[in-house]
Amino acid sequence: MNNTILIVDDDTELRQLLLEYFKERDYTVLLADGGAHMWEQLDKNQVDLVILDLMLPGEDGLTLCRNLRASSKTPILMLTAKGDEMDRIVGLEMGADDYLHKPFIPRELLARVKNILRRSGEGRDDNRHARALHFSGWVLDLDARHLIDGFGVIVSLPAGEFRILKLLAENPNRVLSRDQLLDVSSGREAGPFDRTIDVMISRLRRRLHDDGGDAALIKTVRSEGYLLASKVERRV
Amino acid sequence: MKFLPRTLFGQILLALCVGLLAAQAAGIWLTLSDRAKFGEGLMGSFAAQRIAGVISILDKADPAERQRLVRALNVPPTHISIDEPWKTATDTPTDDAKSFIEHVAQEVDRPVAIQVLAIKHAEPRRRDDGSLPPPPPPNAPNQRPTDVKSVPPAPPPSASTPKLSDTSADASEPDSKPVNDFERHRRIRPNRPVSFLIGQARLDDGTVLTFRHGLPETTLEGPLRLLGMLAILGISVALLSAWAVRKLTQPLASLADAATGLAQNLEQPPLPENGPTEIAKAARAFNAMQRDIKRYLDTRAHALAAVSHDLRLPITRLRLRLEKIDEGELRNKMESDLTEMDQMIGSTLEFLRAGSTSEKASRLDLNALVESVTEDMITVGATIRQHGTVAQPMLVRPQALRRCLTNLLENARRYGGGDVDISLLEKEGAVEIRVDDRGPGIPKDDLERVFEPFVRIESSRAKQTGGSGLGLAIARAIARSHSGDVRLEPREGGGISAILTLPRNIVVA
Repeated sequence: MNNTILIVDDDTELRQLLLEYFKERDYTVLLADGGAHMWEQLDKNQVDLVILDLMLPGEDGLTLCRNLRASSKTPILMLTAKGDEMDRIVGLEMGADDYLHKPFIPRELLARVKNILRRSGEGRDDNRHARALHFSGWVLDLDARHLIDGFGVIVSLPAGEFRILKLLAENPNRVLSRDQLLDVSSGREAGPFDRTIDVMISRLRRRLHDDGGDAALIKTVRSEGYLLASKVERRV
Repeated sequence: MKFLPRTLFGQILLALCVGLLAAQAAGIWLTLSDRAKFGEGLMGSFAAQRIAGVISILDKADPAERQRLVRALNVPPTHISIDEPWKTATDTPTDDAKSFIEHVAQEVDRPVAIQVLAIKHAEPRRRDDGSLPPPPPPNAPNQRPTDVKSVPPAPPPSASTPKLSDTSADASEPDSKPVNDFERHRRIRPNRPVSFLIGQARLDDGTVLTFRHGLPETTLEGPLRLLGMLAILGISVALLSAWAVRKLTQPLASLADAATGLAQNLEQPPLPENGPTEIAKAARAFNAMQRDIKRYLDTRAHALAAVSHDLRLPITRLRLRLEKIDEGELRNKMESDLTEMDQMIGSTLEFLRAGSTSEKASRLDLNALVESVTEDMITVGATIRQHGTVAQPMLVRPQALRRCLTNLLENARRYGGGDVDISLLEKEGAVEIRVDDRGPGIPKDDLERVFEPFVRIESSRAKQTGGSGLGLAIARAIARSHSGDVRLEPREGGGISAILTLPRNIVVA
């Protein structure tokens, strides 16, 4: 099946390049150079995803994003040129499903597009990127990539530990093998004597004040792997 | 001179207090001595009138009546007798004595021969230090020029000096009464100064009248009372002028603080433009300067940001164009060039943003932060040992501080040979994080220069290891926006120590 992408950007060259890039990868691509044109295209066509530039002449990307979100459920991917924290957060609050900084790597854009389309294809009600996972009094902030304890104190995490905890929290009460965890943490295959994951899990337990006993948050499942024994709430 | 206060406040206060106290002390002294003189004058004329009265009464009485009158009139403070011979004053009379004599002469309506043998003034006594000699016995009155070698008490009648003119028929009995009286006086009030005047006058029939008039003590108050007054004055003057001078010098201190803080934080609130005219003017000038510097820096930052932004579009385009080229070494190299450009733009923008306030401050566990950054750095290949912990989380901007620490560690890893020690130290009122490496070090003169944006020291090492030249500038800007700082020091035994200090009572700008 052929997904339709609407690209809204004021730079003609870039629009053309994106058109060619996505066409080669079997997408139907529509172009718009601004707000008015975008509404026109949306009226005439069935669109599966809008790639929207934040910096547009006239009606800016944020306003368009909010209006679009108010009138339809079409997923939106924001392109932010500033790379400023504010734009990113505001963009997400205005209802964008994801964002990407310019200058992006084309493969990264493609991956995000696929991801959004898959999520919306699964018919998930909450299509958007979760920004935080709440479990057992802890908050895992997915944007800032750190943990927040019950008193609001930020507990920083090394990148590897963050990815492991994220995977565990995204799949609560499901056993994840050492291989799966090692894969997200470093992209390596686990050798038979690889203790990397066990070391990281024990560090994570220390940070979570988890003694690993019966009431453990991260439970060890003998010879299989680990699971996060908690209800997890996704918040956008 | 080293005991003088160094602050303007202290110096003005000292000058004011010393000046006012000196003036007050002089004033009090003058007032008291004037009062004393006035009092003495009053007492002197009282004594003169009294003696003149006695002379007039005794003049008119016949000898038989005289003895009775002398007894009746012999009451304090004037003791009189007519039994003693005329003595010769050895010294010339003092001014006091002269004026007393004149005064008596005026009161008596005939010429009268009168002489003052002694005037004893009371001396202020200190109560307990004994530095002044005890007053001499009253019958050996002293010091005064009109003093007589041997004043009565009881000159034996036979021992009368030839100069004494006669008719001392009544001088048969020695009269020691005055002495006794003075003795009694001293016994009753042993600590009070005693002063008296001794003189003789001839009555109209030639009888010698000897009188001792006890002058009440002078009214000069004791030094204790004076000191008390001075102390009260001194304290109130000191308090008042401390308040006033503090009010005057406070704006100067704020001005100095503002000037010191300017380098760290251009966003600091403007100085209040009040106070004395000169200071208000200085504050206005300072505020204007701060605004100008800020505007100037903003303009430059804007230009730099605009260039960086504008470069992002061509880079994006180039990346899309590269997708049309077949995979291969050329494409890989161009991709990595683009990534490098992207990173340079990224750190430039990060530098421009480093001190900004867009990130919200939160409480952060510093130990976990250091551990995480260290862990991440170890993953990319470095030997890092971590030492020490700190108590209690701190209010900081978490992402910014993470960037700051990452930059310091990255620097140590890159230029410091990959063998790094990171230590967390709890200092008074601040937390210190030290990143120590064993690299080739940096020449002393360049230790500050490397904090300037885009500056790299001219060593081949730095060149080949790359880096944007912004890492330390960003780290310092972030530290300063937390009211802290980053500095570099040569490490003992070789290498560099990067020291990040964060005050505990942090003011997150």
